[in-house]
Amino acid sequence: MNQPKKNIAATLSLFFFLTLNGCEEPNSGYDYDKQVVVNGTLTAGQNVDTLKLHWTSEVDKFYDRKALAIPGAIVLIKNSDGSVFDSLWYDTSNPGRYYSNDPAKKIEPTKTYLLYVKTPSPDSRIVTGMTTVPDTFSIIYSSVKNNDTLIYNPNASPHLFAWSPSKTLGTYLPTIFSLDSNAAMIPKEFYGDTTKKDFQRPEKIAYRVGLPREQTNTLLPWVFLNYFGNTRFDIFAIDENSADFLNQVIPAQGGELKEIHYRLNGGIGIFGAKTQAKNGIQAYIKP
Amino acid sequence: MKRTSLLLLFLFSFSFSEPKATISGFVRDKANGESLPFANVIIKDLKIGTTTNISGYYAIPNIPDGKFTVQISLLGYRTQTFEINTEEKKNLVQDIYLIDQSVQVSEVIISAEREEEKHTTQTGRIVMQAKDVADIPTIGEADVFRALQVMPGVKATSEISTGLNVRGGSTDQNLILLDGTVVYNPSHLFGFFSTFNNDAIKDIDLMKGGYPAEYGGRLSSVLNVTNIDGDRVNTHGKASISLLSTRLTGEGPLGNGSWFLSARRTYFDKIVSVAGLDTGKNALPLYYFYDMNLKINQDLSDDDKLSLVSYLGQDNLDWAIGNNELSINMRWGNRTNALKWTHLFSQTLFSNFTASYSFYKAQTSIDFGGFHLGQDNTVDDYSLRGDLDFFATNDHLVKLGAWWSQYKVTYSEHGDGDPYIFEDRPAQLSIYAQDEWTIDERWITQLGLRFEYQDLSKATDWGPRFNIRYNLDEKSILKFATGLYYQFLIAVPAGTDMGFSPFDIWIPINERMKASKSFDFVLGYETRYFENYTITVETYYKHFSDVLQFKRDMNSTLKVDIDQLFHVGTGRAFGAEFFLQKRVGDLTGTLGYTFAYTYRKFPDLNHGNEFMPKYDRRHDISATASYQIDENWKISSVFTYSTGQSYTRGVAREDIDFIGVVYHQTESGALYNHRLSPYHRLDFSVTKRASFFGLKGSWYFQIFNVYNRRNVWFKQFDNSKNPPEITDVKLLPIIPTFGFDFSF
Repeated sequence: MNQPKKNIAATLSLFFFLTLNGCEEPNSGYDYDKQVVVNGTLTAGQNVDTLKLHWTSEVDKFYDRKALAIPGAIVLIKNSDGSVFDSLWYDTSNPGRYYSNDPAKKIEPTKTYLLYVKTPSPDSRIVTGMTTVPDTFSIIYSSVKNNDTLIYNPNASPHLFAWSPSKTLGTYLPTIFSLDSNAAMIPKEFYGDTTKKDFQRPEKIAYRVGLPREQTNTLLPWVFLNYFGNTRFDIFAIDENSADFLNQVIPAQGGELKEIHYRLNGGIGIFGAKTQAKNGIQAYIKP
Repeated sequence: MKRTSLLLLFLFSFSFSEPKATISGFVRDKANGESLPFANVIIKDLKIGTTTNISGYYAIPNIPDGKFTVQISLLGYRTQTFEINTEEKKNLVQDIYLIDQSVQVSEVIISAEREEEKHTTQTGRIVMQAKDVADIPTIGEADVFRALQVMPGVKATSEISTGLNVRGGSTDQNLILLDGTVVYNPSHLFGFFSTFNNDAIKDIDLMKGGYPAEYGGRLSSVLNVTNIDGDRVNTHGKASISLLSTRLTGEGPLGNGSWFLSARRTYFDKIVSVAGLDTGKNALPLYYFYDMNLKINQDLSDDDKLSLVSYLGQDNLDWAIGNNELSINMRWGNRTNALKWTHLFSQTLFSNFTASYSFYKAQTSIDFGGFHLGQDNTVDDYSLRGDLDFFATNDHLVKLGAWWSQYKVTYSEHGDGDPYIFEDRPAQLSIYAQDEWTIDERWITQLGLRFEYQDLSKATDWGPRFNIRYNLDEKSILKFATGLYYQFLIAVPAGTDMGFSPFDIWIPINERMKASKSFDFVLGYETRYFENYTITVETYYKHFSDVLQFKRDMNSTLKVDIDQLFHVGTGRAFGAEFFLQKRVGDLTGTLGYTFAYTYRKFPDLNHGNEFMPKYDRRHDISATASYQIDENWKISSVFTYSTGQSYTRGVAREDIDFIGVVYHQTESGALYNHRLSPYHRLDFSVTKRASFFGLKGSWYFQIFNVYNRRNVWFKQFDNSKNPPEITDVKLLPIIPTFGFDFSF
């Protein structure tokens, strides 16, 4: 064999070898490891709110929240110096829920609180977290007046809200609540045009997300309203944990799966805080 | 200053003290006067020679006294020879006009192929012409990026994306140049088509790695698209009509030079509008794009040439949904303008000086119920560039150059609050020097060094480059290349990683960031042992450091410092490519196979573990074939097969409550740890020459995805279901298209 032929043969052999060795690696199996899910949000001026603890389920299994409740855990809300602020009690009649039984203990604005959770053995998982409560603030202007009756008009100017600045917050969260349990949905051509079921069942709560923390006013267009009837307009200041959670989770609701980073050690979920503007506004929306 | 003077003195001393003869000139196409880059010019008797540069210029100095035969060869052209007598004249200026292969006999074509790229040390190079692109069947019309995507080592994120992932690099790591000017977002129709109109293209030169010191600023590859200069002999034009667009091209002589103009526009919007589908409950968007290429060349003297190159392209989308409840308006596009002065200081000192301006703008406006949201992103790039090619001796081709760019990058958001405005004006300076040294008949080496400075980050980086070529014998060569590459501008993906790219936001690194860096090693073997066939095998290894990945939890806004927007990590990519090419004869085609691994690692992603990003493909096979049945009929096909792309699979499910809303959440497992089903597709086209009302032309019929394989685009998780529903979002089905073009 002359030299060029040898070169070619050697090259092709190398490739053949690489091809044989490059067989498709199999898809790795489930790497499921159950995790503690924390649902807890402290509210300025309120008692420590209910905190929920559950296990995750495997992705292809039906998620039964009651069955996955974690009973008998140690749940402590601590001050920033590590001293215990409140110890929560497990409610056996409501699986997974832990309550404060000391109504005198109110969450203070601008204060930092720590979370400590230890699940019972044999798992004995420890979850910790930290949040700082946003400062109090109030709505200083609203184009919707309290107890107004409004006629739904998607082409009219959007509603304007402005508020005084809070402190120690992640962002503001303007929110619209439909208060009537059986309120009629507002028909919208846009929703009607689409075949997506999501658009046919709008949530009874609508957010404005993505506001910079410096922004102290917002427009809420009419199309944000999803239901006729009694409606409440509130502005929340939410902590960094909550803002980060929403920024990640809302875009992750559809499309490809995304990696979510939770601000908890040893578990997933949310341990956050919110402060509600002092003077929320209620109005009645009619066709 | 003193050093600069000494350098110039050194260069001019070479150029003015030539003891022997020199031959130089431009190599051009005889039919239209187009300059021809990459042609081999050799003096057969002396076994010395060179390759024409990007402007089609060559020079061979230090020719001893005597009578010699000069041979010029370029694939696709008749090999030409002529005699010179250096005893009679020392400074020979000889422009050479090559004749197209259509009037060629086969033996000489083979000779041309053998001589191709006689001197280049460049590894991983793919050179194509517009006709090669046209031979690749696709949807609508020929597209440069789609043609490149069937080459080994080059991949797209998906078939509906023109973004290029080259040897493990991300889509923003490619330096894309149109006649030397950077194009920042080279796509139309949300990335479905590239901005490059195939009718306007002369050459496409892709360097997949180990590229020389004259290029920099990107980690993975350089794509140099050169537009047609224009016919210096005859005035003529061409019109093309496809289901997608109408294209018009004209060219001809102008003064001491030429002009070229090509334009195209899509008409989806016109069809929608005429059909009345743009209003009402089920309104469709009014969408169109247009682009225009203009080039004017003038020879001011034998030693001075001036060319003006201009590109303008824009996409427009207007969509009113429902009873004007929601209105979406989008505009994006590029403009580039460049004025290039080519000057010959002497026969052996060739220069190009370019002043260019590249502008990119993307604008989105959303209105609903009196509420307005807007996003604007612009990139202004003012650049001055000078490049010197010094044919110092027969053995040394020295290149020196400098590139200064002043950028203005803006991003703004307009909503109900105060508008958010980001603006940065970084400047970047690059200086390079390289020497291509032909050591002997077997060894050629190229050593280069590139210095780069960016004023925002104050980063000063040195990028050494080294290429070496060893001619094993007349038909086979070995090549090795290594180099250090830096990148100072990064594209922030506009909220999706599914391959859409027109709204990616280009931003510069700041003082708290380091330039991304890659270290490349390429080893290649090439043989033309089998007549008419070229076989290339290349292996590569790349190490990336300080690579950036956009944090998708940043709400896709730039409301924090730039450095807070990114994960900073490392990466590596390695693989081997096999490429068989037949470019001569009635049957031409390619067969490519790539075996590759790509990894990325970020401390705060995937628990700090390495992962294989979406564009990692273990195996990739592409085959193209084009057969000229007779004078009138031609059929072409392309088949691609590749490992399914990686995706992230869910492992856990839970509900999380927040202010009255329950989020049904699926937790991801290890990032990109699963594979979609393998991707494969066959496309086919048939072309027939014909005449239309006495005008010469051709029509074509193409079938995209012949056997209607519904490849998977991505896995969609519907968290509202319990357990979450996972569905395959499919790519395009079988799509037939047709069109025709005619010349006038």
